[in-house]
Amino acid sequence: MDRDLVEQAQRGDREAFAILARSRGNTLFGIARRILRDVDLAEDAVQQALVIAWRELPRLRDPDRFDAWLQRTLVHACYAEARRKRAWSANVRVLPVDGPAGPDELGWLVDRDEVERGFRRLPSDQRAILVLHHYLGLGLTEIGEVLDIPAGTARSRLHYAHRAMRALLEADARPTAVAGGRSS
Amino acid sequence: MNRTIDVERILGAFLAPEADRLPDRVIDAALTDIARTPQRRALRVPWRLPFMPALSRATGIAAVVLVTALGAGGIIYLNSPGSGSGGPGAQPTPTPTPAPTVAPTAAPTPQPTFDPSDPAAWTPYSSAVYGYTIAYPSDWSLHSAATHKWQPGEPIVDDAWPWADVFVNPETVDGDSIGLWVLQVPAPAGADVSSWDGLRAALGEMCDEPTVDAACPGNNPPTALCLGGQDCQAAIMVLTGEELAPMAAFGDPETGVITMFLIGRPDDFPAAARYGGTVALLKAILAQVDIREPQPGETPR
Repeated sequence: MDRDLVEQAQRGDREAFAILARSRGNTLFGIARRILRDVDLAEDAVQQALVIAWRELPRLRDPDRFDAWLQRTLVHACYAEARRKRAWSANVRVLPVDGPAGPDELGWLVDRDEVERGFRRLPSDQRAILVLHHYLGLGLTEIGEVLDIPAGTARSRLHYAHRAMRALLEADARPTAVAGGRSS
Repeated sequence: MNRTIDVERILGAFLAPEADRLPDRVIDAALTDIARTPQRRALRVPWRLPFMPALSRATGIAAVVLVTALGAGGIIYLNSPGSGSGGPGAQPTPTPTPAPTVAPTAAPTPQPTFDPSDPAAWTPYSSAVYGYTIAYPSDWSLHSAATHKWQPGEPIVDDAWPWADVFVNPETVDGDSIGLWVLQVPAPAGADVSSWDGLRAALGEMCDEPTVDAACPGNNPPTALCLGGQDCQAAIMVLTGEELAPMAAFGDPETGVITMFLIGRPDDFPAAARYGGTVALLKAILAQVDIREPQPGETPR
């Protein structure tokens, strides 16, 4: 079904592409918002990615890889948005506490603001791989497909991203211990 | 304070799925843009010379070497006559880049007669557009010189490659063409061309770029190579395309530019026999630009 739509879109059928875009929009937005930590930037990235995807779609060799290819296009659009606006605005919509992982999943370990601060300090490529893994739930092979890297490389990049995030959280925790409280 | 940071659990909660909803206006805006955005044609690099007849695999040669990218003002100096001696053989390569398996020549083939260690076997060439100096077999000729640098998305028009220096072998007139394409492209944004994996990933990002998609490594495992006599600058060789044509590339970490070499015919292409196959030919050309196989345990620096 989707393959047919992709092939139609590859032949220039804008209606087919519109169906594909609408069916993927929320997921793309979820990815972009988590990578960019900014709603406006995320919307811009999704819009840009869809336009690029439309333009480049005839070059997609395997229609069955559309989703991975589209997500790769989005990740690159996110990189571009991140470069364009390096000074992060305060337009951060903090994720709700009552997410699927439990009401206090974060709170008993670290403060959510600390996680937010730490995450935003990561380079965009590390944020991207963490989002692909933790938000989309992709395995290493799937991450490799999206980022077009071998699974082994995906494994090492994910490891380094986790390590960097841990280091940031630990660094954030140290002054807290000294001060006896956290700064916001 | 002694907190245990379970970062995976924290990130799992922090990045957990929720009800993300993209506003309709975003999709609508994208579709409005799309309505006036033409699609790019799905061009494939015709890694065949335009004057080459429709060759059967049994009769033709088309070895294509694509050299991509040097840093701004970067120059590759050649003339290391001994470096290509004998054509590099199959050497162990460091992980994660096992040597690609090249199908052995099935039919009896002539012994290689091309001696890459002979300085007279090579003709240096300096690119006016890219600034590099390479060497091509001395009985080859320049087919067409690059007139401008490669630009992303630039289409191939009339089977011409104005962004590439193209050389051809003497058999071209007989239809057994070998072409040598030389051009320059910037590495994709964020690419790490200082490592073997990064270089391969960078090439992978170009798979949908019509003018260089013939250099797409696909899922084929690359062989690790080094640029430089003492230091090792990351370079790789990989078989590309349906024909498993050998291609090599190296990146310049300082300028973020990649250099690639692509041979557009398989190793057992009959007319490449006098070079020992297209893989040996490519390796000999690489040796002229000081690209070698790494020492055991050697990694890019």
